[in-house]
Amino acid sequence: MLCALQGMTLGQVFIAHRAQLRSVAKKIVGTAEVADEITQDAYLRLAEGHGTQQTVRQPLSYCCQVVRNIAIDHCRRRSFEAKIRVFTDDGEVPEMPVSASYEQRLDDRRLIAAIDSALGTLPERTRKAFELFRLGDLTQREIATRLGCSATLVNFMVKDAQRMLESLRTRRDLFGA
Amino acid sequence: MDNSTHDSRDPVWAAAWAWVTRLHEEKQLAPHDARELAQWLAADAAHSDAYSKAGRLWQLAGFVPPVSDVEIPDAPEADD
Repeated sequence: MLCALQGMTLGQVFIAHRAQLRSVAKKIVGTAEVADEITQDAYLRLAEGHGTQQTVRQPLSYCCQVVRNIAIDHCRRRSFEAKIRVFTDDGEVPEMPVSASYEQRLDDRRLIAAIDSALGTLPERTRKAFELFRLGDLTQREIATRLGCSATLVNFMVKDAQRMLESLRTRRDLFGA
Repeated sequence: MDNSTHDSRDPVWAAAWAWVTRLHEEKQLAPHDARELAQWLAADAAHSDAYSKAGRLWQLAGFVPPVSDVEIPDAPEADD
């Protein structure tokens, strides 16, 4: 029942389901140690707030979204570093931290808010298509079925949303020089 | 919306973005694609910078709370 969670902060919802959320992380990253670090990073981000004006409609689902997102990104960066390591020969590659620093999370929140505003300018259905693609891990074909439109249209909508995201890359206030 | 100038103006960014979104869709790159990505990343510091930036933008988009009902994979049931 969702109503039981409504009066709780995201941090409280997270703590109440910590074991389940940790196993979501472990399923993605494999090891318990890394899963623990990811769970902790997710908790801090949730406890500090997500940075947008949005009301979180489904708190537990959102906690899971944050955990998955950190875990998947960790895997992506890990494979990225492995690739660099293979093809450069300067040896020393610093250990990649799993958790973000306080300052990093602060910077991230600023960018998350900007992304939310940018996505907010899209037509509702376009944003929905993008959310199903980015967060729901659905294929564009599955999204087309879900929304009752053509896969071509979904492709256009997802591309529009991506262009909106990409346009933020030139914002010096978000990315520095 | 015509964005045809976008790719031609910054091909490095376009390539970085394409890799990041492709990884999202495919989860795991085929070995020869992974090798191609590795070579591209190592070829120029600007490539890996763009890739990091694109990756960050893509990741942070994943922290925005959805405005629609999206089923998050693996989400536990809210049953208490």
